[in-house]
Amino acid sequence: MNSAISVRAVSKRFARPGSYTRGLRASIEQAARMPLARVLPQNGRAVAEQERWALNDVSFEIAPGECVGLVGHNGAGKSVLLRILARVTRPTRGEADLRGRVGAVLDVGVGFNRELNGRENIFLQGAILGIKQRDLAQKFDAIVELSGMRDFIYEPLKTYSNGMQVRLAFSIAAQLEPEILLMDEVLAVADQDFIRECVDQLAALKRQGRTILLASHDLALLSQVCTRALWLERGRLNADGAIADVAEKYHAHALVQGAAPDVRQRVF
Amino acid sequence: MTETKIIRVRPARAWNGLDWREVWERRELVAALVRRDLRVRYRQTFAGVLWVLGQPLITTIVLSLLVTRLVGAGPGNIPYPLFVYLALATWAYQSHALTKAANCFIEHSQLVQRVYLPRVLIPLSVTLAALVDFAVALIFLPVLLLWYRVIPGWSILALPLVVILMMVTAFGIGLWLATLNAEYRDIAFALPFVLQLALFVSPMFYASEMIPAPWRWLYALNPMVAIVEGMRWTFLGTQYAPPPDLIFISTVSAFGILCSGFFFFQRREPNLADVI
Repeated sequence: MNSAISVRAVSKRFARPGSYTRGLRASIEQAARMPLARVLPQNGRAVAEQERWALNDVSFEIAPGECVGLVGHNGAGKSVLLRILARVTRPTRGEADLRGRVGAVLDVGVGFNRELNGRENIFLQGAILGIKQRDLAQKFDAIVELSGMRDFIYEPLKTYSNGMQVRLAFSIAAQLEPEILLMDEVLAVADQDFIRECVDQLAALKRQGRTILLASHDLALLSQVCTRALWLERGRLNADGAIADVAEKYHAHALVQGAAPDVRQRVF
Repeated sequence: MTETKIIRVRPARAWNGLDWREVWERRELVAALVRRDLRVRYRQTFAGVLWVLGQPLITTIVLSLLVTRLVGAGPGNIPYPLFVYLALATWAYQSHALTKAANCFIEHSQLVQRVYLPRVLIPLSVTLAALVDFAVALIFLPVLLLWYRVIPGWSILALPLVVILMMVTAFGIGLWLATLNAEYRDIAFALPFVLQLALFVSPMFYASEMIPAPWRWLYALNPMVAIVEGMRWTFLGTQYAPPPDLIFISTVSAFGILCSGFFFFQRREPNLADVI
């Protein structure tokens, strides 16, 4: 199999935030109890209850050039999955292979600095994303053009509105030219026009045969670019198939669950 | 496409080696982070420069007045202000680098949690950026040298070695602090106090020669001993000879801290994004 993305039985466990298994005091206590751990089995159970499996035995394959949407409610594990694939965090179990250069946009404007001006931020952001400074210098005009920030490029970023920052961030990320693009729901803050442009960009990437994995709970947006969808629910893969089929199941499920989406406390 | 790079995602093992080639390929990131730090700090606050500049100078003046009035002259025939100023300049670097390093993963939590990059570069960039503080802190050195008519001898060629030792120490301790502080925020709170204690067990205001024999080796485990005495020897080499045994032990200790810090960081690195 020569999949672009191959995920095999990936699971991810988190300790609950503020749980007893974390922090200096807990660590010292655990260390002190270590010799007694076998004598006091109930301790082990107490710890196990404070864990949460953010991903549970998730497996799928994505062929090169495929454009796949990742749907699910808040806390379903979409972000964790993308972060594992982007190598920001590691799976607790299971493994995954990615064939090709990976570009991950998990958040907008990571590492942007409010005090620096637009130009300085472009070079900083490029370095963070791993674009060579020399390439950035060449693509500088293209980035500025795409973002539409020509008049503000020497202004400090703190004078930019949220939407402007998103535009700038995307214009930089667009220069990544990855073979595999991982994207978390970062379009939520952009305005309709810019979403339109982004969708066009994604479609162009798709035509070039790039592999795209795009997380969102906005199925309408996903169906504009994706042909296939993965549905995560409470860390498990609930459905995998043509986006129309998955959308149908997803909406049916949402109706059963009640109109309000299941917004549980997020772990991160 | 000629060859496709396969990226393997695996659970963390007990030892996860570092991809040195990747670290080298991402060297531009270090430069970018250093540039960012310096730009932000020196653009925002003119006072920032004054602070870095004035801190060692004012401490030197106060101490010199106190010590020369109370105790008499400094050690040997070295002008006491020079003796203290050289030490305090290295201290300005060390305390600043360590404070920044301890907080680097938290301050840049986005870089840790949202992008893939060799994370070891973050504390590294902090220790490099602090070198500018060292340079700024040294601005008054030529004035002091002229005033006391001290001409540095050939020992001044050892300055790069002292700087390297400073960075080894700051990076080594910084890796420990940054990794621990990511998980236990108590570290950053305790740091100012620990730094204050460290100031007294380093040969800042006195010569390490004064430490009594039974305690010398223990005292020398402090890497600041080699840095401070090395710094003094670099500029005052013609009239000042620090004890070589102390310098040797202290230098070994600095490299020991760097190795242990690196191993500790490498062990914890896979979980960094989860514990912050």
